[in-house]
Amino acid sequence: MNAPPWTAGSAGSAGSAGTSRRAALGLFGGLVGGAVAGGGAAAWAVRTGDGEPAATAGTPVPFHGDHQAGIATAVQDRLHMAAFDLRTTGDAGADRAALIRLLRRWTAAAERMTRGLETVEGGAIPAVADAPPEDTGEALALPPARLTLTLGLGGSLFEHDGRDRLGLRSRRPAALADLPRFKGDDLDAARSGGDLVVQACADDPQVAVHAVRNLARIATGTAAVRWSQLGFGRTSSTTPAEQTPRNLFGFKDGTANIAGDDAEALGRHVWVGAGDDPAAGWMTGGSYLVARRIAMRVESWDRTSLREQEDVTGRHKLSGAPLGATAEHDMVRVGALPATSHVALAHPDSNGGHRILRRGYSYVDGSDGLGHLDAGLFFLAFCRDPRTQYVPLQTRLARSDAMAEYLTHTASGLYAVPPGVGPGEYWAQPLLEA
Amino acid sequence: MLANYLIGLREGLEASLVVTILVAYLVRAGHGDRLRPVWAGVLAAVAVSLGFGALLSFTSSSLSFQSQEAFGGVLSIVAVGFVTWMIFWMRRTARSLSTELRERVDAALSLGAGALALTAFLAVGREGLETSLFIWSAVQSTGEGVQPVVGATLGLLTAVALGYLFYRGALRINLSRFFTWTGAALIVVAGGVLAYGVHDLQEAGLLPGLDALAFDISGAVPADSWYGTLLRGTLNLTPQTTWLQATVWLLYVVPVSVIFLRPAPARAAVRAATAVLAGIGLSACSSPASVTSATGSGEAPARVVVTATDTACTPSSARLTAGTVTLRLKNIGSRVNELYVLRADGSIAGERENVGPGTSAELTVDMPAGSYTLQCKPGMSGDGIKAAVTATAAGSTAARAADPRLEQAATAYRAYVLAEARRSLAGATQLRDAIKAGDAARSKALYATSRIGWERIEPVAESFGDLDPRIDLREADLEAGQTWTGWHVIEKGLFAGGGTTGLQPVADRLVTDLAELVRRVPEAQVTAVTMANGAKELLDEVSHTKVTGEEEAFSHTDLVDIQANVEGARQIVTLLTPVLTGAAPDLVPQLESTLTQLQGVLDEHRASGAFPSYTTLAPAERRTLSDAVDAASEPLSRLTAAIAS
Repeated sequence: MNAPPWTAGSAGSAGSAGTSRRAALGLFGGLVGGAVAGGGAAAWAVRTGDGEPAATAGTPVPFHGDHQAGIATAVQDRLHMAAFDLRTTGDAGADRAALIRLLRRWTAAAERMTRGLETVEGGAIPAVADAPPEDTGEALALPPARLTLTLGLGGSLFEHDGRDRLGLRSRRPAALADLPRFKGDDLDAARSGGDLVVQACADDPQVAVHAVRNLARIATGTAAVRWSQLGFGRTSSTTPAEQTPRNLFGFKDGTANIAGDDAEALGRHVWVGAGDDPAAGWMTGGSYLVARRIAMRVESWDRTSLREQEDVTGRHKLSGAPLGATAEHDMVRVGALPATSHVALAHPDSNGGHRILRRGYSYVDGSDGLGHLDAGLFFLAFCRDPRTQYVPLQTRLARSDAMAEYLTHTASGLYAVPPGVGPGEYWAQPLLEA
Repeated sequence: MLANYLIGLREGLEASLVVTILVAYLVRAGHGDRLRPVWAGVLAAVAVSLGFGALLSFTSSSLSFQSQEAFGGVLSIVAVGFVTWMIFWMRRTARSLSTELRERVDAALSLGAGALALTAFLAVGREGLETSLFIWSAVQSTGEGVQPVVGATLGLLTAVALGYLFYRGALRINLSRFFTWTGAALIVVAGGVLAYGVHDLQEAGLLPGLDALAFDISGAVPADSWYGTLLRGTLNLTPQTTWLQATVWLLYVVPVSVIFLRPAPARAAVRAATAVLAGIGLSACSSPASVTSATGSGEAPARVVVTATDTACTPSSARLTAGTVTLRLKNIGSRVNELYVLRADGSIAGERENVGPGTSAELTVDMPAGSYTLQCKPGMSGDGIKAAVTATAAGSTAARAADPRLEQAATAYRAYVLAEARRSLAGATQLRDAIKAGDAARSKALYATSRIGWERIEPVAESFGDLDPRIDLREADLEAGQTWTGWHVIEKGLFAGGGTTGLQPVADRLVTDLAELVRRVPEAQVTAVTMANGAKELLDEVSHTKVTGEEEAFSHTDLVDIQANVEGARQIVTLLTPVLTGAAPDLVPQLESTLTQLQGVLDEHRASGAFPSYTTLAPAERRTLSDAVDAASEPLSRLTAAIAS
């Protein structure tokens, strides 16, 4: 009996066409292998190409640099900010020298604390038990928690009640002109202003508090705390890839903020340029900090309908999308928003293209004595020239913003933030050593 | 990228297997020349799938969710039927072939050629449509990157390549083993198709038992892992399988396997088996995903973007316009995702599967007014992440305003507003006369009472944006360079400056402005909704500036203002009560009791006749007043929703 035709066929064909079949198989195998390898490699590349993660709790944020840290840095979770008033003796030279000594010691302490160290080596537990510790100790063994310390100089440092206490009046930047009074301001002078201000931001509130407290301790005798503000809850993000945080009105805040890695925008809107103010060249690479303590009438807001909340803000509450758009980062078309909504009035398109880098925090400081929470936004913004970037903006908002009905500005401060500190230098050195 | 690759691999693998077996069989039967019908069927299926998929992705023709499930179901029944037929045809002709009767082979083959082509067409087409929709949605998302398309294409190519490798292996093995193994593989594949189709019918609500899981191994075998993908692609084994699925699978696989493996069954038995299967086969295939639905209603559907990550499911708005809604699932996560739209009772109104990372896909759903839940499932398994949305009929407030009682309330309120505006005008006229006469004492007395009418209707007055700053601006609200006019200039003059000097022009101006208010009341927007909002705003006014004593910074007559604000709110509540009693009966007693208590607190302060200066209130008394205001504010804030719902 003959073998079945197909067996003969396949045996026969295996012989003569074997080479070509093997070649074909090899080709296919190569294709498959290539496809799998290519797919795998591509997948891996995509994963690692997702952008730099922010420094973790163990990695310190560098203190030294062209610009001070804590401005373009990814926003940390907590704030402790304190303003200081100098104690002056009337002798400009001596007072200036005292200020320089203070800033030297502050710089040294800040440079160490941002690395998670004590203010001085062995500061918390002195070798001599009879001596008070030089580091207060509550941050012992805590990681750096991305602590940044940013120094600002208030207008009163340059001129106080008309007097030039430190001989610095001639070096006052023109952009550091006092902010005007805005409509609806109810400012508490005791909580506003200050000769010096320190912004401590960290992911751990204990680290932030420790930093400010120790700087205050170092300043004993030279400067005293004027006001202090704790902040929780980031209300702005400088890392757009992350989820936008929400403010105490429950709305996403900071969607259209300047990103910390957007060098072009930072150079245009935040860092002071070399030619901006020839009389104050020491500010090149620095910035201006506007601090406003904005009380929010959360109880009234919470009784307001969702529709009204969204119309007042100009964005959908859930997604953060501008009214009339569908996704949070959709382009804002100011014309499509209610004319008195916050976003319509605050958007760069309504303000001549000016942008500011917002870096504020929510606060709740007890009660107002009438059964309501003293809650609000500690608004912090960095800009290159507050005269063109902040004042017109706030004027417009105070006059027309529907949200203004729920807000009251209760404290204010404008500070010149000097450029970054290099190794061996001290804070604001270019100003004090012309 | 990997996830999209796996989708392409999975979709392609099953079709690849079926075609491979067909081709391998024909080649081994020495009929390599008869491959043409098979390739014709495959190509036709690919072309139709791509074309149909493009049509659905880029236009808006549609089927409802139920229809598309049924359509897919019919397709799958036929597919399973044909695959089963094919299994037994192969077995039958194999027996014929073994007796070397070529005529019978040819005859069998000639009968089978058309059926071969059709089987190939259905096998590829079934998977082809779903793959095609996925490909087109990836192409549409190329604005967001080419990776999804590249990944999926690589997956498809890999499936083809694996099929070829299987083909090579199938050619080499012993013939009887070949028949047995390929037949068994096809039975298992067909069983999987049947079971998966059952699951889709359970989702559509046509079969029960969606949540009764026989097993759930999604922890060990995630649907988007490579091994989960291969299991799904070859056996249609899903990590979460319901009891009905498992039962149907067994009911198919066991009898068919028994019949297949028994020697020489009668033709009739085979036919019977196939017929039974066609009858049982209520399987819907893995649904060819949603198709964009017809915009037959003529109005633009509401559009909502649902942004999905691996851990979040966020719609662009929690409020949708009821009707035909287009949802766009934008997957910015790293896992394959799917979106379900669930009605309030948990039934599925619509779904879209297979949305790869970096791609977007649309889904149009009929959503009549009501509450819904959006459910995103990263990895296409598990409970996923839910988000609540509400569909409200457009113009529902307009429909409500047509309620005649609300119209009546608005008309009555407008009359009240006019009367109170006139009251203030009359009071301001008297005030002006007193100022003209230089009578400071009388002016002071008239100051507060002239404001009563204004304070009762303040939100309406404020709705004329330009009048309020002229009439009632406090000094603290002045802008640099702004001219200060209105009541508070008079207040400061009378109570801080101590005289009527220089106040006459201000008083004249005040009278003029109030006369303008009276004239413009008829054009004010007064509806039941603005009334309800206004009542809340009146007490907000009290809470913001009056209970703190800031309003009347010089005269300290805040209590007079507060009394008027409360009266204004109470008037609105009275006018809206007929509607409230029906719409929100629980609200009425709350309003009544809190407003009465608030009035009681105020009355305590004027027990001796007139309201005292606000400065006489101790902090504890201010606190008591503030608490009473807050208590009344809460039910007032629910007025609008009560009459608008």
